[in-house]
Order: sequence, then structure tokens, then C-alpha cells
Amino acid sequence: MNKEAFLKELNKRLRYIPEEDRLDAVEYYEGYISDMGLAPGEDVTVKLGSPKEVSKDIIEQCTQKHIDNTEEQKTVKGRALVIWLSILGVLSLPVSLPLTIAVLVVVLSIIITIVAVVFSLIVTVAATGIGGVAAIFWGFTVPGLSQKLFTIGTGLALTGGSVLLGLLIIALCGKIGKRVFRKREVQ
Amino acid sequence: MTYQLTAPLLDACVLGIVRSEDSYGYTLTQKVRRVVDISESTLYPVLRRLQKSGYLTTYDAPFQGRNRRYYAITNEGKDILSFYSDEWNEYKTKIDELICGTGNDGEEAAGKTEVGSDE
Repeated sequence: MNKEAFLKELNKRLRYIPEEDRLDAVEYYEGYISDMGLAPGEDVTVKLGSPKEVSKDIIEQCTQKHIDNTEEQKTVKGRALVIWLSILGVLSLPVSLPLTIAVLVVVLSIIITIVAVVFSLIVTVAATGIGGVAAIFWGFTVPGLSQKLFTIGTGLALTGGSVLLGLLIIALCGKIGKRVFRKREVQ
Repeated sequence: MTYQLTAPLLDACVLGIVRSEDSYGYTLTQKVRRVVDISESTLYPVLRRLQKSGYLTTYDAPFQGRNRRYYAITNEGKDILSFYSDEWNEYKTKIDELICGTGNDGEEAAGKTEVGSDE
């Protein structure tokens, strides 16, 4: 490929970059090839590379500013995305807010239920225990031997029952707790 | 060549050559090519960019019945070149310290703390 053909093709390949850049590049390579001091008819592309390669370098570098611009655009896009998400968030508020409240209420009610059940169990055990102990002492004041024995016996049974019940609840809580934690560990 | 030349370093090389002597594209390329493995078409975009940034300016001088485009450095170019030069010297010294192990002070201190932490 001679100089003229090279410059012609280079010019053609640079047709999409700004005209000023294109003319500057072609002018530069015109002088460059002259300075290379090639013999008449010598192939320009051997040393210089094909017009395709040369134009690729120019386009990539000339679009360096484009690259900078696109990087800016990317950040702008990022910001735009945030803005859009915010708008979407605000617009979906009529739906998402009640939903959020509903979920919170459900979770809260479950927690309250668990606490209430545990509390009621504790109260039951405590009441049974206290009642039992009270019955034992009360048994001594009751007139009649059979009544005394019955009341004291009932008191002892209640006390024992409450102790057993308490132990049972503690054991159950422990087991349930362990299972829950194990599940969490597995997850 | 084992080590890669980064864009700012190539800028610095070109600015350095032009600072010492106004040059045209072909000699510039050959001067750089004596040291660094770049293609014949590498420098044009660099020169164009430096020109657009205002670090280089061009003028035409007649040569054998045609105009030859010469590149000359501007004051902004000299400023950025001295910045690049300082940066390069700093970088070069630090790399030399690492390669030659001349920066032993820091190394020994690091070794001592390591031993201390082991105890």
C-alpha cells in the first residue's frame, strides 16, 4: 500500500470522528510517512501498520474524552437510579406502609403471645406452689383429724405438683430453645 | 521489554523530549522507540491529547518543499512535566529501595515488631 492509498483509507476510517481531529490525523501521517523516507513503491503498512490499526489507536484515544464523559454519565446514571428508587419508594408508600405496619403488628402479636403463655405458665406454677404450701399450714388449723390430714395431704400434693410442673416447663423451654437455636445454626 | 509504560509516563517522556528540543512526529517516535517498545502509531494520539490539553503547541516549518509539523512545549507543559518528573523520581527511589533493599530501616523495624508479637 502506497502513501496515497494509506492516507485515503485512513481518512475514510476516521469519518466518524470530528472533522478537525480527522484532518489533523491525516496531516500528521502525511508528514510522518514522508519523514519515514521510504523507497518509491515501498509498502507503508510494513512499518506503520494498516490504516485499520492506526485509525483504531486514534479513535480510541480521541474517544478518551468520550470515555471520561461516559464515566461521568455512569455516575449520573447511578444518581438517577437512586432518585428513581426514592420516587418509587415514595409512590409505593400507600401500599408499603400499611403492609409494613401489618407485618410489624403480626410479629409483635406473636412475641406478646409467647411472653403471655410463658408468663401464665409461671403464674400457674407459682400459684399452685403457694396454694400448696398455704394449704399445708392451713391444714393444722382445720378442726378434725380427717380434715387436717386431707388438707395437709392436698397441700403436699399441690406443692409437689407445682415443683414437678416447674421442672417440666423449664425442661420444655430448654428443649424448644435448643431446637430453635439449632435451626438457626443450620440456616 | 519487561516493564509496561503507563500513559502518564509516556506523556512525561514525550514532554521531556520536546522540552529539550522542538520535534516532529517521526523523530519523536524514533527517540521513544529506542527505549520503549511502542508501535509507530502510538504517539500520534498522545501528541494530539497533549496538544488538546494545552501542554504542547504545534507550528509548521518548511522542509524540502513541504511543511513539517513541529511540536513545542508550553508553559503548562513545563509545569506538568516538572510534576511528572518529581512524581517519577519519588516513585523510582521507592521502587529502587524495594528492589535493592536499600530501605532497610523500615524492614528491620517491621521484623522486630513481628518477633515481639510472637513472644
